[in-house]
Amino acid sequence: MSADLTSLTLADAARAIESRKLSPVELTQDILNRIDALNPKLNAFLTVIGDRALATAQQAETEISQGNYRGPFHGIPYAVKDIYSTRGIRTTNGSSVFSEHVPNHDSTAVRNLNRAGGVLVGKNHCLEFACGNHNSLYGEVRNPWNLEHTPGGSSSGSAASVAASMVFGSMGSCTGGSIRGPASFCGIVGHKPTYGLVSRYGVFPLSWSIDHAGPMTRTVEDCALMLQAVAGYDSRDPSSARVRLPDYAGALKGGIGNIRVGVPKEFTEGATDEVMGLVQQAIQVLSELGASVEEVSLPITADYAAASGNTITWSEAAQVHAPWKDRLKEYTVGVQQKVLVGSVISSTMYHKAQLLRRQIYDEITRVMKSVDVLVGPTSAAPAGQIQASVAAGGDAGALRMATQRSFTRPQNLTGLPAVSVPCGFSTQGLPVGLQISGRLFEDDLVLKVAHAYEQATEWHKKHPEV
Amino acid sequence: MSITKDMVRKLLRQEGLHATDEELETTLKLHNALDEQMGKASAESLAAAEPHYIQPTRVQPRRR
Repeated sequence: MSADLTSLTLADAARAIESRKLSPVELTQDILNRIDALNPKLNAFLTVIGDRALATAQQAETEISQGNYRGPFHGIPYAVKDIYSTRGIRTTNGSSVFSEHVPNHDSTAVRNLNRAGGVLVGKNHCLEFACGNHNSLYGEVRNPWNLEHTPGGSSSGSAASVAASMVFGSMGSCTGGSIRGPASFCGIVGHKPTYGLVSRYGVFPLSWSIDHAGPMTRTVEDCALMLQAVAGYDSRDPSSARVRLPDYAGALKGGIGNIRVGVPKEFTEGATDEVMGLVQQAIQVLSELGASVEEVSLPITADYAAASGNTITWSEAAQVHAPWKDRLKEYTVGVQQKVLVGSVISSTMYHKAQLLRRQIYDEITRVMKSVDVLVGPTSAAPAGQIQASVAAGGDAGALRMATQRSFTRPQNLTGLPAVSVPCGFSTQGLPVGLQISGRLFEDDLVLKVAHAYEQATEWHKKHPEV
Repeated sequence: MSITKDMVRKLLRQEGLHATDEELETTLKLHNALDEQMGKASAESLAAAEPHYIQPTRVQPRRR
């Protein structure tokens, strides 16, 4: 059976593989063919490992035929952002400095997904060191919904490849919104798990205390399946949480009639009228599904999340990049500048940022005593043109970003789980995302609300024609 | 505390980093923008806060 990759979800493929109606080898070959056809247009993959992927798929097929089915990720082609270490496979970190870097170990996320039977097909393009611009060595990634527009960053290739059905899921990473932002721009689901839920061992760091690793897929159910395969305690990541994992896909079932939804008023301000119109419609859908909706306020978070977050991120990034300080001129301007400013931030200033971070955490925790989830727009506007994004980078872009309110950063600072799910399209035909966030380790509830919304709408059934 | 361009230059040199004049200017602007924004926070409330050094792993998940 040859698969229609645009309509086939990860969950569909898993069911077909389990019942032996779908061959992992044929599925992987179809995926590789699609990557061959579309990557010249989208530039979503930096490295494709066709032969190795087919060998893994063959192994999966043999195991399944012998009755050794490992679970829903068995035989599923996937990818990872190119900051995840992969043993024997080039890992560039989006940087020319690492253009020939071949790690001798797998990141824990890759190891977990491989153990679940996943078939790694390649490494996704990303912004340099997950925080800069696209290095000119590798070029720009393009948004499958409009090739002149950006897919967002820093998990740009992950989002573009999932949206274009070049792969069923990809692991992104997120320090300020790099999973949810690109997911929103590309019309897919992106989940930033609770801090500590998914190991970051072997993922090139940007900011140790704020970095997260998480799945990007086309549907919420797919996201739950990928999260199940990748999450879990890892002694090699000091931030890893030793918690019992729920059945994420199983938890999607049931209604949301008892759910209390909070809409932080400060995190709708600044969004375009078009985005807010779609988000209001989405909130109405949640209400019709039985959720109660109330406006809430997060003034400290609104005023200080950006400054606190950037102070911590850039300060930690300066330490991360210290070993390569002699090669700083090989970095793009955006990363160079973050390392420079991080190098002059005093311990007093870093400490103050951590005090503010505590206040932000306390404020959100207080609000979330009376609501179960917070919802709002993921991004203030749909994806901009690549040309405009390039022009907005560099010094001027960094200066604007330093204190500008971001809808996604608070969850990175606090470690709270958050997902972006498609909630419509702009008049230009570009996707818009709805962000749903929850309490620590209530990723299952966040995904449940996202799933209920998704199933009540048709957005996830729309696919870009590339 | 706002810093000066000369302080930026010295701090970067201490770290073994050499910046152009333009980079020094931008570093200074970025540093001071962050510092100024955080300086608006209430000193009284900050004095009562524990720094966050994030460890949600200490938090036990609630059972629903």
